[in-house]
Amino acid sequence: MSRDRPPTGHDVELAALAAAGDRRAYGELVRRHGSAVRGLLRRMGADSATADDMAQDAFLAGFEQVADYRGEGAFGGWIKRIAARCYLRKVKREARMILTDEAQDGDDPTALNEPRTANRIDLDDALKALSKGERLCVSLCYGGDWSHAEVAEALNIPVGTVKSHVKRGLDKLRAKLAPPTESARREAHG
Amino acid sequence: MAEPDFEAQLTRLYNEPPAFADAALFAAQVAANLDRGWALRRILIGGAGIAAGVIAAAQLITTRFSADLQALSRDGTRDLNADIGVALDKLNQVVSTPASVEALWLAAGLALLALGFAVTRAMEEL
Repeated sequence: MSRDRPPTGHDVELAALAAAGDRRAYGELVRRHGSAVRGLLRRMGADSATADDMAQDAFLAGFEQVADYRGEGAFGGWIKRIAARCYLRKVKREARMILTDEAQDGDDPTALNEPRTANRIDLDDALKALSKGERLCVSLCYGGDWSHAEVAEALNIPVGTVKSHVKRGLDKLRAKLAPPTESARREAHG
Repeated sequence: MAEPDFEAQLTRLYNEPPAFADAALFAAQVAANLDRGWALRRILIGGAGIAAGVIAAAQLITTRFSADLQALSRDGTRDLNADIGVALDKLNQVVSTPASVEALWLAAGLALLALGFAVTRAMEEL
């Protein structure tokens, strides 16, 4: 393989090369999946600096464990799982407090009441309407492909608590991501 | 919107990663951290190699003398001067025999190998 050309191939092939110590192959995997991992951590509620630090830690940990990745699932899912675990380890105590509290308002309380006027569906904007707990649970379940039971186990909270956070989060997201109503559209155009 | 449809849409949205202007920089930082970790590991391996070489050399040399020292302590009733004389004789014998010279050269060779290994590793990293 040429030293100048980045390695190419399927993720599974690159992971096998990385498992044999090929750091350039792993670098290509980082290029391919870096944004997805950083994005997931931000959507879970991490600020940008923490998300990037955690994503870096996850990729470094991933390199150590890449021999365990056998290609059963997508590499992106595998590394996102590691990243989510890294983040949860960091925020576990805070997350447990948030999640066992009663329902909270979202980060942006007005966000839910604002009619959606743009046609572009922006998940990141919509997530601002969710509370921290709802955001964490919804992002783990739909972004990280975790089951309710896995989230509950990782955070050491009842499954029912996770389910109720997910349900409330989904309701808010559904309202935010629904197509704009005719009246809202008219309002937007003056 | 039906629940399964909405959930599928949500999963799709989550699977579309946001675009980061500094994506290349992030990848470069991870690569640099990987390289740094690798370099540290190599230095540690080199250090361990040197330590092992030195210990092996020391063992090779001291085993030649320890048997003689043990014999000296067992025969404590002997006259001290005679013992010292015998020990000196033995020491001379040990140093002058081909086996001890071999051991000495072997130890020196091992130490040199370990040093060479460490220097090579350090040069590679620089």
